[in-house]
Amino acid sequence: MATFFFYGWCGVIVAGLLTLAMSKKIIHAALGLLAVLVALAGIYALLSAELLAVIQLMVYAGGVLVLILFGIMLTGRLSDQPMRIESRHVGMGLVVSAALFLTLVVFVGPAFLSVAPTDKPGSLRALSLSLFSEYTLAFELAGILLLVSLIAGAVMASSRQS
Amino acid sequence: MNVATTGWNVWVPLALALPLVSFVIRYLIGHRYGWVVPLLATAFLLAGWVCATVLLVGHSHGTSTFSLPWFSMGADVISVGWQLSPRSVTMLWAVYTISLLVHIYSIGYMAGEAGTARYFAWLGFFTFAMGGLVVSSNLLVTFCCWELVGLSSYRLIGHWRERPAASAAATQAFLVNRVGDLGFLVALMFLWSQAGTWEISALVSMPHSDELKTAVGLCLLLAVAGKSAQFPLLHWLPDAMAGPTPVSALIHAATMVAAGVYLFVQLHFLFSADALAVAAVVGLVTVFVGGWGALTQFDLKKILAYSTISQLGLMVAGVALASPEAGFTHLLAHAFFKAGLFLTAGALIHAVSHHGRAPQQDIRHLSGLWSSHRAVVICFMVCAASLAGVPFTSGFLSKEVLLSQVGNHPVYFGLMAASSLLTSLYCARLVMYLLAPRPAGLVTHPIPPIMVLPVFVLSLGSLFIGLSRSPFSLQSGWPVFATETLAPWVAFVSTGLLILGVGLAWRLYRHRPEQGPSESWIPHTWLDSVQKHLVLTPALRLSKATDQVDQRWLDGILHAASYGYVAFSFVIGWVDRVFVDGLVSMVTTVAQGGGKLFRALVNGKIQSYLTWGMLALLSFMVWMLYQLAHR
Amino acid sequence: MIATHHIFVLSALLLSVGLFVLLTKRNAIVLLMGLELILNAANLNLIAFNRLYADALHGETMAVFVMVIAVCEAAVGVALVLRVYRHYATAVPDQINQLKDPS
Repeated sequence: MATFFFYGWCGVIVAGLLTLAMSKKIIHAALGLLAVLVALAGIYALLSAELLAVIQLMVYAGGVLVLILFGIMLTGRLSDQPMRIESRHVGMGLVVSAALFLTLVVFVGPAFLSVAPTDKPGSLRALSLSLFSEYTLAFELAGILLLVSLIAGAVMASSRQS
Repeated sequence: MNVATTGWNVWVPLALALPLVSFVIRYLIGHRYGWVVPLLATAFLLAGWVCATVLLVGHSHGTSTFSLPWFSMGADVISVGWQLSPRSVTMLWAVYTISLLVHIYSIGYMAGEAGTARYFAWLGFFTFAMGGLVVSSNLLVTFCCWELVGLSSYRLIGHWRERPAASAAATQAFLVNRVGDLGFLVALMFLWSQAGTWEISALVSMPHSDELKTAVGLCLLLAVAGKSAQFPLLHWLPDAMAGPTPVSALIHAATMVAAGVYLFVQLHFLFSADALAVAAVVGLVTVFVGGWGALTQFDLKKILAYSTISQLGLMVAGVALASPEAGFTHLLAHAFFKAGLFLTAGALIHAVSHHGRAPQQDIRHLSGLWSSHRAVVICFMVCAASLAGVPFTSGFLSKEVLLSQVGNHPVYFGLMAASSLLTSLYCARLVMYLLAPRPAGLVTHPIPPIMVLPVFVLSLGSLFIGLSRSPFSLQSGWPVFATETLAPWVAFVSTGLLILGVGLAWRLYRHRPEQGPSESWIPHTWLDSVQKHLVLTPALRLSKATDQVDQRWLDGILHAASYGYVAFSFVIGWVDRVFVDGLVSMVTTVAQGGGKLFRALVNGKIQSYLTWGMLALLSFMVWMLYQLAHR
Repeated sequence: MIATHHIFVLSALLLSVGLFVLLTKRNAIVLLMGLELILNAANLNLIAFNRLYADALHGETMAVFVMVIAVCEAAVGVALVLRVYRHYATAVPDQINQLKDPS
């Protein structure tokens, strides 16, 4: 059952990736990204990482994507036509990415063929506990980082000529 | 016999050096004081004459040699030194005496002329060279002095530089002498290779093969012929009369031309019988050629020149046929009376010539001086009498010695007798022309006494006392003469020939004809052209041919070499440009290309940066994983 | 059980496509999208391999932080793109090449 869902989400991911990579319209690309992000949340849930699934949906799909959509909106104002995405050096990109994919799959993949995962319990409680005990410092620092990037983004995006 | 005479050895270099000093003095005295040079030269020569007299008086017997090593060739040492024998001492004294008298005469003769410093300098140098030639004990040194004598003769004949005839005559004299010097050199080579030494004293004591003697003899004969004007090398002597008369007196009558005969006398032992026969023939031919020349000339100095040639031939024939002592006797006598004749002739010419015009040397116009210059004319006649062989003169004595020593051979005796007839003929002719009545309107100058004194001394020497105390034999004469008896019938024959000659001259020349036999009979004109065709033209052609070779071939080779070099340098330049510079520019091109290649990576496009970065990372990953997998 | 190997292949695919998008597209926003893909691929790997060590949750914790950082980066990135867009009037990265070699 889990594998069936897993392969379903995989299909969604693949479709999203294809859309993202090959569409000419930027909105379609953004929607493709959205599909990928949502499907990933589903896979996280299947892997017993519920908190992360939710965070993924909220933060990525709801935050980052919206941010990107805003970006699309703000950078596409020159003409009334939606911007067309052009590609450059597609061959080279294909070669490099295919090489990377093959390298990983051929050289690194076989190491995990005989690995047997264990069934692990849900992680919400354990994750929260570890966030506030073991990783408190990192947590705090992450907060500071968020604050800083908030300010930075606000400053940079402002229309003042500074 | 060797006499221990170390004390005398200082006089020889002193005697030789004093005239040399007078040569050097000329270069030290400036132009302003040029008038002192003649007096100074004469003074030095007087001192030298005193040394020579000391040697003559003190060293009249025996032989001594002195030598210093000069240079060495390997194991052989050539030394320079002198040999004092009665003969060399006497000859040295004769040379110095005549040179001194010529110096004194020249003070008057060359007075007022430009270039007297030069003249006296070379007179001194000549005396030094001649003295060296006479006393030298090594044939190499003799040869050096021989050449130096020739050099000073060249300078003195050509003293009047502004006259082209003088320069031409000087050159001719020098060149003809060179032909003779060739003979001397070859003889030296023969002697070195066969006998191994050039020392006269050593050569005397060595036995020599007949072939060597013939070879050396013929070569030396060539040298003698060149220097002493034997046939066919005699035509330079009449032309040398273009020089000043005192020069003719010193060099071409008494000393330089006598050097050849002197050499003949010294080295008589090196001549084989065949060489002596050839020498006799040459000498006899010269006698008649010279005598005939004297008969046909009207120039006073040329007559005396031909007479000198004739007498030199007689000397050579005498040494060859009679004995060296006989020839030497005649050499001494001839020195005095010929010098006297020349100096007198110079004085007479000086009396008749006018300043600014060419000197009057034609005997047809020198007549009538008996009344105005009696003393000089008498001296002239005394010397001429000595030449002709009149009794009571030295010439008579020397001719008697010659004739008596060949008395055994009728042919030779006949030829010599004929020569003495010829001599008396031309002497009488000369005197007759001179004693002709004075033409009207002849203006003469007085002769300065300084010129008369040497003439007087020489004419005294031409009398019998010049040779011996008795007018009829040499037995009480100078120690150099071999004491031998003279056959009295010879005296009668020679006196008879003398009278015959005078009578013949009286008949032929009583009316003093203005024309003589044509000059084409004189051999020296065609001798000149023979030499020109034999020697000069081929030499010129050879030199032209070598010049052609040099220009076309040698220069051509040089040009080709230089062209080749230039072409080679072009090739080198091409190689340098193409290869060496090409190498350098290839390096730069590679560097530039590499730079351009890497610069193209920095194109400001982040996606291309990312692409290359990913490729690098990828390759690193692949390699790492490969290593990990195969460890 | 979901095979770890398959998840790994999936994440490798995400990574490759993300890289492809990053290298190829001529729009700055799309580059950011590709970047998100790469980050998500890393996240997926982290969470998947956490299953192999079930006693601790290090993987998931790290994934949380990865997300945080990804958000920050996306925010700043969009702000940058906007700023650059305003200056150069273009969102095509190739045309923002003032930092290239002047020759």
